[in-house]
Amino acid sequence: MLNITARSDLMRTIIDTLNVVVEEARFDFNEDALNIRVVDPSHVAMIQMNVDAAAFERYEVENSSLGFDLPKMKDLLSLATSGDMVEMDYDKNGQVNINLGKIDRVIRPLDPANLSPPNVPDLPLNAMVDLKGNDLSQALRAARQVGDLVNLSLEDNLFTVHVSGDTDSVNVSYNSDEVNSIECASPVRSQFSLTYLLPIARIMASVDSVRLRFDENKPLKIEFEFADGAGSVTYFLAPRVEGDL
Amino acid sequence: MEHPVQPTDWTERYRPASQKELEGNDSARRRIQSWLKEWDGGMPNKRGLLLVGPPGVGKTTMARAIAIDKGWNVIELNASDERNAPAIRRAATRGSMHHSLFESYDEGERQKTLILLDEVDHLGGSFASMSEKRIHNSFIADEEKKVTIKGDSGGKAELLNLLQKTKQPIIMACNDAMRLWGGVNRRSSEDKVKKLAELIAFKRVSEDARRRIIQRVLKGEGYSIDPGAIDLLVRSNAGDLRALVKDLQTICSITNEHIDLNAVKGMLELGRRDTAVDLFPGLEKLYRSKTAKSAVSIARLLDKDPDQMAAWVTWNNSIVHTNRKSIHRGARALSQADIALPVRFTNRAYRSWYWGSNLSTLAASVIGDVPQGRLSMSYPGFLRRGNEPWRKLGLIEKLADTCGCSKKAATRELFPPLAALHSTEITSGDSLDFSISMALGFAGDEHVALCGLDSRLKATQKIIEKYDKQVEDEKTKSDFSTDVKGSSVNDASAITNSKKASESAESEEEAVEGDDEPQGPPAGQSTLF
Repeated sequence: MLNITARSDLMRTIIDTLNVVVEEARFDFNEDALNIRVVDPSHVAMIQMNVDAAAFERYEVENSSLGFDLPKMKDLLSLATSGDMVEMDYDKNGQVNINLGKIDRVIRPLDPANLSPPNVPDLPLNAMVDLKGNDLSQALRAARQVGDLVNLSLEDNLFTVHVSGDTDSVNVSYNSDEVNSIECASPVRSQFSLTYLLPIARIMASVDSVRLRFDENKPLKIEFEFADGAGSVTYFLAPRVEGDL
Repeated sequence: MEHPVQPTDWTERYRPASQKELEGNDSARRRIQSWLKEWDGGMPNKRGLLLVGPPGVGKTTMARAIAIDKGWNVIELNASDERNAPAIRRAATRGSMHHSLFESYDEGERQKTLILLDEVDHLGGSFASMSEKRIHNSFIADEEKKVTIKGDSGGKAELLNLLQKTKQPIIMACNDAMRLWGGVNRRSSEDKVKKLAELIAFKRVSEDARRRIIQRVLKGEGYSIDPGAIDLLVRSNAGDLRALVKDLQTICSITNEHIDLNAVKGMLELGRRDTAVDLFPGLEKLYRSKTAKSAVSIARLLDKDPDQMAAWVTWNNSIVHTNRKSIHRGARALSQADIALPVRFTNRAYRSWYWGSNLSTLAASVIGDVPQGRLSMSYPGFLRRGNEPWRKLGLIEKLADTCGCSKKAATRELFPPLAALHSTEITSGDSLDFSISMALGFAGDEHVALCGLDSRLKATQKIIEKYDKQVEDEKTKSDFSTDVKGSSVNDASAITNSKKASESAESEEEAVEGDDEPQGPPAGQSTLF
């Protein structure tokens, strides 16, 4: 049994964020929160998402798992204007009834057995920088103009986004006064693909506090919150293989 | 829901998770092992392996088990996934240039991620690459510009791209390498892939290994089995482990705790598994079969459609059978098959397929005598393209020119009888009869091409010399009587004309189609001049 109502912007944030990594996702509705874990087919990017029951207008749920086709949901939500309510109801017939204003839509959920959630890697990452989503997004968009391989580094309390192309290069730096906070014991640097980073950066552009954790040649971990802190996202990205290694 | 459930499919449940449980193909295993080991020290020359072998012998299972034993992460792309160029790029190519999130990032030896592509011979498209722009556009979110790429298009091309760019080990598996290369540009596709990936052949799994697997599965399930039953099971399986485990699951589902001979017999009676049999051993069995029934059942297991089957039997009958009577009887059955097979095109009587295919296989087997000794069957020469003698040296152009007909008519009407008259493979043919070739004005090397002889052979060179000498002689003679040559040319065109007349309807069509025919204005159309 499942009966929830949510603001359409909340649903849109959830769907858009997950869609950065996958096309299909398994939603685990638990007593007090919605939990989702997805990994992209190349095992390079992963999202772990928690949305507290408090973020929903109504949340009456017995533990259940539903698989959703994200582009399909996106299409449906594109019909909503902000402030609209989305009602979702899962009956015993195995169908999800979604109501959006005058629209009643029936969706057959995907088999959750085929969408088993990945294990979240346990990584000790020593460097941390917390900055405005807009700043990060701008830095990455500047980087995109030069190439795809972006170097993130942290040294002497200076966070740098750097790309060097064949002829051009770009450098965007923030010192400890220009960001929310910074932590770093020793200088670190890792290289990532903008193909993966840019779409998630676009999602985070309006967030005030985006926390990046990384280390020397290790995955990047990005944490941010939405829905006034009721929802949280952790995004993992594996580094590029550099050189012949 | 969180803890893993035992898979209901036994082939999954008993799929070896570690090398220790692997059976068979030891040399292949050692090679995969040493190749994966090379990755520990850097990148090997060839960054991919292509495992080729019959289904169910454990190609991907072996690759996966070895990688997992090394503690590596494995990304798998199966035939059931969508595998067009963007899909492969998204999952494999991008993954191959990154570390994986599931690698261990502890200090010390760095792990790799094995990228495993199953059934690559079923990938679509050719090795010609898909436009980068099209692939790129399939990723963008903009609805207006978005390109949807369906099915498997561009799959093979992206495979090459993957092999060139990867920084992680790639292992591909397929049943039929020939299908992977494809029909067009086969050689160049093969070279392209082999430059980047090493080929490893897998064989069917031995009886002992099959026996051990049966014991392992039954032990796991708590079943016991009679020795006779295990023998029958082992013997009835052609070395396909997936089929073997599936059969076991079927038997166990209808028995309790103990499997006896009758249970196995019952299963084998119920559903004789279609195991595709390797072509040449299968053909040999077909030729050696003593009854019509066994011949037909063997032929059904050969992975050839009826038309191809008829071609294979036609070609190999004359190789295998030495007795003239046998060949004659076989030829009669084959010609019947040849009539029956195309009937489906004219009146959709698909039953004719059945008759046609059975007739052709019967032509191979029950035409009187079972061949003795070693059989040396071969690939039907006429199924090979590009090697036909008429393709050589512009013979057809010359024939068409001399006889004033279209190239198509020359290929189909003129060349076969001329080749037959000269071919040494046919007893009536005589490669030393130069009269026709000379009348047509052929040179020595053209004459031997018409005879279907290999011009590199010494004997052939002698014929060419002889021919050229005779042409010289004729020339000096013709200085006295110019008529000789002219009249024989007329003879040749007389043959042509009578042939044309006999199949006038067809020839007329061809003449219209033949693009080398000089095209005058259509009848009734006046010209500007």
